[in-house]
Amino acid sequence: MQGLRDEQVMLNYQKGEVEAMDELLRRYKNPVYHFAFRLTGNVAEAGDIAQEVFLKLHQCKDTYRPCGKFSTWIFSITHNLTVTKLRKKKWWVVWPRKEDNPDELKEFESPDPSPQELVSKNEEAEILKKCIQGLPFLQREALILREYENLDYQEIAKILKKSLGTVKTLIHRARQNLKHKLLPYAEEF
Amino acid sequence: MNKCRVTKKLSSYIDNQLSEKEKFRVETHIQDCKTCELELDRLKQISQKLKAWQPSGLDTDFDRAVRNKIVAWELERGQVKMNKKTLAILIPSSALAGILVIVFLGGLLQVSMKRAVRGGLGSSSDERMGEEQQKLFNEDYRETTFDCGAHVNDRVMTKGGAEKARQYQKTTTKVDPAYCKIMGAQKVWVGSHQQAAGMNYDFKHPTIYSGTVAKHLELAQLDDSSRRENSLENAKNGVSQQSHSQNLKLARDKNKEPTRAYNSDNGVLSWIPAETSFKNSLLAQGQVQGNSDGAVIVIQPVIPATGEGDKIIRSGTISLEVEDGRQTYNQALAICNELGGHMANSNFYKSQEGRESGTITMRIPKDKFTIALDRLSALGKINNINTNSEDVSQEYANLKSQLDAAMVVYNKMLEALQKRNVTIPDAVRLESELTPVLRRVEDLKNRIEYLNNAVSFTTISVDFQESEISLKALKESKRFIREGMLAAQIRGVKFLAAALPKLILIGVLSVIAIGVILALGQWIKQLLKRG
Repeated sequence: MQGLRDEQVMLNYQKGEVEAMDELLRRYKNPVYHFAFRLTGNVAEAGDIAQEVFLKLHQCKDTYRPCGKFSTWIFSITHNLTVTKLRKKKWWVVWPRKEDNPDELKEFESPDPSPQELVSKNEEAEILKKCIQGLPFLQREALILREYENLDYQEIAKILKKSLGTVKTLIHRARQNLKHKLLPYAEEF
Repeated sequence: MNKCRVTKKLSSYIDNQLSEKEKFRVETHIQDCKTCELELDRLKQISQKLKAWQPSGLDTDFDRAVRNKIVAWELERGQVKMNKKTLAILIPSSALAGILVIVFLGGLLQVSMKRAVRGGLGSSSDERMGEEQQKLFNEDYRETTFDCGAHVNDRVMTKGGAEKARQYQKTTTKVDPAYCKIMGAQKVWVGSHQQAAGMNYDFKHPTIYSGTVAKHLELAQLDDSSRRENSLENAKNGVSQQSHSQNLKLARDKNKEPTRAYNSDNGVLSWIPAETSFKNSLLAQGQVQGNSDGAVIVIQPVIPATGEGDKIIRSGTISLEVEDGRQTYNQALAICNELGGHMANSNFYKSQEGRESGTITMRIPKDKFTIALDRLSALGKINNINTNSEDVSQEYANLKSQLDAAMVVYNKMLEALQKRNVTIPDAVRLESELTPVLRRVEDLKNRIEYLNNAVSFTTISVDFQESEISLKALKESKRFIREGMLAAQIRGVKFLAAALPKLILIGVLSVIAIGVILALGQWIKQLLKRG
């Protein structure tokens, strides 16, 4: 089972092999959880989202067709469930678009952490976490999928249901924003 | 190359997402542009720094939690399926129960409709009583064709039935309202002969009563020895006929010419003034002495023939379920006529659904009673058959003996009267003495005649109705349903035709409203997108 491709493992699960679900859990539970955690910033919520992703996997097993990469599919599910959960929390209400460029999204930003909140070196990750959390949601999502899941721009575009150009822009802007956010912490880094 | 453009491509360059051509251009530019080189280094650092953020992994319970969720979902789905199965059983069961309830209610409705249909049978009791009385009257007085009634069992019976009898009862004279009716200028007495004779007497004109019952009675009493003879010759001579009906006939004939009477002087039937004829007839026969004040009124009742044998009044009732009501009616009537009987009364009814029913009451000669029952029973399916017998032999014998005794008394009194010469006043006194006796005799006679009639002719009542599921009823029901459906369709078409303009208007308004709502929705969507 370990040497099989993700798509084949899923097909095996579709046929009724219970071990296939264990293999899929082994392969994707952490990436899905980390992706959800990096988006929400909350452990409990990320854990719930991850469980629901695999439940969704089970619910859709009969209708699964290996049209694209399995990773794209599972991260799409994670993205949808995360957005649904965050919308229920009313973190943002409306997601309007700019008039001149429909691919250019107008996003809301969360407040940046202040340098005074930092205490020690061990909080480098915490700083990064908070800076990433401070990015607009789509930029954050695109950046996480690129930096941590190592997905290419095409896959990211499929997951986020955006165009390739939009993804490039999102990642560029995310890095620029992150650079600006990390400037006050340049001495620590 | 434009610095801004290269700066934007640095992220893609880091991620190795550029084409070879673009990658070469960026690398060439970086060699010449310190700013972009610096920017590139910063981005690479950030990318490396990002790797420092690695959240902790999931605990070991995660897998179990996922499996539990999957199991819970499967159970929930199974329960839903179970509910569907339950519904799959429940819905047909409920439908079947509903059908059974409808069938039960339909049966109740049918029973109540059957009862309503049977309400068409029968007629008023008064009319029946009148018709029965009329039947008895016709039995006894076949010769009678005009409104001359008879008195039976203390009831006045007339040709017109009970209602007419009541009318007669209402009409009064100075003596007894129950027994007198005035018809034009004549007096027609209903009731017993004795009563008629007694009331008919007019002191002012003691001998002249033409065209009346009393008159023929007067004539009938002149010759007692020949009263049983039944011939016109005797009638000419004033001798009574044997039967009451014949006497009445005689009286009827006289009523045609109220001023005339039979002339018995020369033995030739001719019309002479009644005043003269009667007196002359009396004088000629030597029954009375000649007297200018009037003639002697001598009345002798006619005793009915009393037959021997058992006196049993029989009656029967048959209830039938038949296929064809009309046919059964005709067949029953034919049987009645064939056996020498006659129909007393009948009733025929046809319901809205075409079911026919009716009742026939007939009088059948007593020796044909059993045959009649058998033949009538064969007309359909018997629901009920009853017979009843009443033995009136003792009563009959009693009446007969009473009548004989009364006649003995009467005859003795009459003999005593005839042995001496009396004047008219004396005759009147004798008459008054004889009147109660004669009344008694008449009553007994009438009762005996009634029993004779009742014994001679049995009464059979046939009650028939078509069966509910006969072919004929089925055809009628189908026709009724067909007509009903056609009428309903016609009404439906008429309604639609009348309502069509309104329906069209409503439809157009609805389409317009829906279009407006949709347009409004689209406009709001556009607003939100732009906003």
